[in-house]
Amino acid sequence: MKFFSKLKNYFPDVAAYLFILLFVYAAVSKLLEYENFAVQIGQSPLLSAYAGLLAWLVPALEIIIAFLLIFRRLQFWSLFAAYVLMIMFTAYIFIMLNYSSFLPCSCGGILEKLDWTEHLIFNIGFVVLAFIAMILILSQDNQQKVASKTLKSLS
Amino acid sequence: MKIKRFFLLIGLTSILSIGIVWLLYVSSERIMQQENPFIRRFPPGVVEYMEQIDLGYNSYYFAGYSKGMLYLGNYTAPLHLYQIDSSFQHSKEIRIMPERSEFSFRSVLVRVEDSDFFLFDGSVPCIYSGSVSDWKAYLIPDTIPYFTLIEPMEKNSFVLRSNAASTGRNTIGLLELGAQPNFNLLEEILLIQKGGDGVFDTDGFLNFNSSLNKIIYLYRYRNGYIIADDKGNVEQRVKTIDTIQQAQIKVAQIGNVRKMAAPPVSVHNYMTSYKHLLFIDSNLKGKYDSNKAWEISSTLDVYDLKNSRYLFSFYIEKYMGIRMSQMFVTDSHIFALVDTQLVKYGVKNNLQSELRN
Repeated sequence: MKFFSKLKNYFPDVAAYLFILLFVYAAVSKLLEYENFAVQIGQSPLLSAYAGLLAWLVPALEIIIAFLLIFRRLQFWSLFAAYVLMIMFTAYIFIMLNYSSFLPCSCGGILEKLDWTEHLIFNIGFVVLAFIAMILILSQDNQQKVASKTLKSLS
Repeated sequence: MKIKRFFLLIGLTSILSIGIVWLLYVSSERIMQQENPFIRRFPPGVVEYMEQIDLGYNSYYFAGYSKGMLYLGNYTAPLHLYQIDSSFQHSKEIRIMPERSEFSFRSVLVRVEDSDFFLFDGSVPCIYSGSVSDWKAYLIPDTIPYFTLIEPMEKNSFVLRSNAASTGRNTIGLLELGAQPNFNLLEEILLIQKGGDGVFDTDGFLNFNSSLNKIIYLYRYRNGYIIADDKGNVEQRVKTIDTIQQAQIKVAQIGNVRKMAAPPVSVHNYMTSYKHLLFIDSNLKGKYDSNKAWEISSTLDVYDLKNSRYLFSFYIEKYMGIRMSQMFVTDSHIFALVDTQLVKYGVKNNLQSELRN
C-alpha cells in the first residue's frame, strides 16, 4: 500500500520527465536536420501546404512544453498541453495510416526507425501516461484541499 | 478541479484537437490540388528502374510504339529507325524508303501509329505516309503549309504549329488531307502575353492525346498548358504548379533577325501524355524539393487531364550529368532517352493504379 501511494506521488514527476526527454529529443533532432525535416513534411500528404509553418512550429511547441514541464506548479497544465500535442500526433498518424496513399515519416532521430503501427502504440502510450499523471495530480490536489478544509474546521 | 469536470475538459479538448488535425488535412489536400503553392509530392517507388541499353548516339527520339515494339527515330540519320521490343531482347535497324527523295530534308520527324507511319518535314514542307510492313513512304500530293511542330490525330488529320504568314506568330492549325483537303489556322489558341512577340513567348510543346481526343499545348517559358478538342476549340487553360507566369525572355531585333537578348528561363523541358495523364519535365525546383535529388535527376510532374489537377511527381535519373530528353509511357513501362541511353522503368504504386483506371 505504501509502495502504491509513493508511486502515486512520484508518477506525475516521472511522467513529466519522460515528456521532457521525448520532446527535447524530438525537437532537437528535427532542428538539427531542419532542411530534411521541412522536405519531409512537404512530402507529407497531410500537411504539405503548411509545411513551411509547421516545420518550425512543431519543434517550437515541443521545446516550450518541455520547458514548462520543469515547473512543478505548472505541471498539470503543461501535462495537459503535452497530452493535446500527443493526441494531435496520434490523430495525424491515424489519418496517415487510413487515408494516405503513401507514408513518409518526419519524427526525427531514432523515432523514425519505428514502423507506423509501433508509432501508434508508442504515441498512445504517452497519451495514457499524461492522462494518468493528470488524474493523480488532481486527486492529490483534492485530497490536500479536503485535508486543509478539515484542518481549518478543526481549528 | 473536480474529476468529473476534468473528464469533460479532456474529452472536449481531445475531440477539438483531432478536429484541428483533420481540418489541416482536408484544407492541405485542397490547397495542394487546386492552388498548389509549388510543393511537389514524391510518393515512393512510383517508377522502378529496370534496365538500360546503350544506343551509341544521343540523337534518338521516340517515333512511336506499336504491338510491343518501340520505334526510335534519329535526328541525324533521318531515314533510319531503330526498332526494339519492350524486353530489350530483339532489335533491328529499319530504313525508310521515300518514293521521291529529291527534297533536301532538314528537320525530318517520323511517327509510327499502329501499322502506319508518317514522315514529316515542316521546312520542305512535305508529309509522307506508308505502312510498317514494307516501310515504303509515299508522298502526300496535297499542298502542305510550312510547320514547326506536328502531331497526327485521326487518319488524314493533323494538328500542327505554324508561323502565321501575316504576323510570323506561332499559331496552331488543323490540317485535313485526303478527299477534302483543308487547312485552317486557329489564332485564338496561343495567347500572346503583354510585351511578347508571339514567337518566343508562345514557344512550347504540342501533343495529341488519342484516348481523350484532345490537343495539348504546353508553353516552354510560362506555367501553363492548353487543352483543346480535336476541332481546335479551347476547353481549358491550366496553370502548372511552376511559378513563372510571365515568360522571362528578352528579345532583341537586329536588322531582320530577332534574337534572345538574355538567356531565357525555361519552365518546362518536355511533355508527353498517356491516357488521362500528362507528364511534364519541369525545369524549376519546388519549394521543398531535395537539392540532391534535383541535381542528379529530371523531375516529372504528373497531371490529371480530366480535372486538370496536379497528382504527384517522380524522378528520372540523369546519365553522366545529362538530363532526360524524351519519355514514352505505356501501361506497364516508362521509357526514357537519357543522353545515349534508352532506360526502362517499371510503372508501380500510384502511377500503376492511375493507369489502370
